[in-house]
Amino acid sequence: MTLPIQKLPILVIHLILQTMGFQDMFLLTRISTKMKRIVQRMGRIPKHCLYVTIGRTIMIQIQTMTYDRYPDLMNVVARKNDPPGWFSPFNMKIGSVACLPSAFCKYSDGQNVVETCWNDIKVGCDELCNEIIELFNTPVRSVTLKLYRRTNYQNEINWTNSTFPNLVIFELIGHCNFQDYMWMIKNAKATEELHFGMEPSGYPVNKNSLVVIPLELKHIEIEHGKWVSLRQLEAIKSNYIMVKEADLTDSEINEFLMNLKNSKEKPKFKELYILFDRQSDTTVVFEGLQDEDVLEPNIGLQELVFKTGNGQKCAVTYNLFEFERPAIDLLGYEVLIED
Amino acid sequence: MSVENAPVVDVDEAAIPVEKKMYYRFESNDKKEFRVSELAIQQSETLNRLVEAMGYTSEDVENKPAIAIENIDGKTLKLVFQWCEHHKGEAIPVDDGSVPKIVEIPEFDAKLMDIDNGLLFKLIWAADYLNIVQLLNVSCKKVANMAQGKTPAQLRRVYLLPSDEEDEAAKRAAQEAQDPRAREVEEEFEERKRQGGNSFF
Repeated sequence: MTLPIQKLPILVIHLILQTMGFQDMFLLTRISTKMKRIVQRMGRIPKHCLYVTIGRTIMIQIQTMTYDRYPDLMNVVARKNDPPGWFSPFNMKIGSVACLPSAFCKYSDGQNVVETCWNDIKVGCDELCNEIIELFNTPVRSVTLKLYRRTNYQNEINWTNSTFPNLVIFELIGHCNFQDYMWMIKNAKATEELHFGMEPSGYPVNKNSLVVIPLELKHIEIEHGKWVSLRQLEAIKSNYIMVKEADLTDSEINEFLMNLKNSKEKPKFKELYILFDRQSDTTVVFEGLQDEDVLEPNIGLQELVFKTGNGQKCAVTYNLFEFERPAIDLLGYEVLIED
Repeated sequence: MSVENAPVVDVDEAAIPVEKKMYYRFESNDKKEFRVSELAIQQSETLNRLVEAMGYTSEDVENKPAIAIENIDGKTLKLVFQWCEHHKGEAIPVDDGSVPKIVEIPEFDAKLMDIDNGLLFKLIWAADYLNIVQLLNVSCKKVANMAQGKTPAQLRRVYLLPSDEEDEAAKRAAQEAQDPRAREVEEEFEERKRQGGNSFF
């Protein structure tokens, strides 16, 4: 059963390629320089980006920026050893490697993933990313670094920073000691978003004695934020801030909001979430925040709206927040600023 | 073949508005004739423009010779018109530029395209030539589906894709065919090199 596609008009070949998944298209380009050129000339694919997950293996996924579920997106994995799940092994040319051992592997979600075997998986990641970017013009948007049972954290962060200098989203998950934790949050570089999911093995007794780290990203999420003091929170200059497992008292949250109410300076954030696994007394948190022209007492309120010192509207809501990854429910405050 | 004996494509009479009930006659390159409803023809941009330009009346359609489609054979054209009749009145999809394109192959189309690859190849050519967007989409999707789960070597066999070396050899052969003197010059050059000469001229 053969069908000589190169004998079809070029626009028809493009249409066939466009109705294929990225993975099949990628494998087709391994056959010849001509097929590679045809795919490259097919045009740009602006909606898609590369999402790289680095752990024991490195997975590179082509995804839409909005994470739409397409059945035919590509997963390429770089790993050191060929696992037992491999089937239909083959060799292919990737970058400077002429004959790379590769195979399909069926994942638990039913997806067939192309796996490749490298002596050094970081070299593999680099070569694969370059090859995919060259083919599909899909930039690397996000890197997730899984740092479980790792010791040399600095190398991992430095390598990610230098390999992906224009990274938009950087996510870190894993365990480490508090010293490494602080080094990592200072040094993890992204142009827009930092999802800091590292869990330190312990916290300092007095968080107020910690050196304040200036963080200036558009979007920042801190998964284990017991170390975040009031001064640290104020030093985060982001549009979106989420601090989970915060260890701020109701009085400290009130102090933060009072500073907001009295400050003439516009806060950088538009959305702030301070979340914890305890009950909070809104009477304490909302104390003194009500605008003078509001007669309603703040006792029992779940939501309060007040004017900040620079005339912006600030809405504070006490609520239960549900999360899927990891599955956790946390209580806390949503603070929204509107002009 | 006479008009009376022409293979008439199945038509769903109820689906055709009364005022549109006109059937055009087309002839394939192997002289097979087909009657196709005006509504079905609208699926093909090429044929639709052609019949519009011709401005035939009902009498013209019956009395004038069938419209010749020179480069499509009867077997392929039958499939094309069966598809057009089945999908008549349906909106023609507009390309939104998204990749990968999400194309579903309906059951009717899957059965229609349950054919050998040679005929599928001709069907794609015909859909492209006649500019039948959705038929081209589903037939291309069928070809794209052949790639699923295949290794590069298997893909090479399925799509008859030449390797770099084969492409290079074909290119050389094409050049030589264009200019037979080129081969002679090259051989002469090789011969002189073997003899130790450093100057060709």
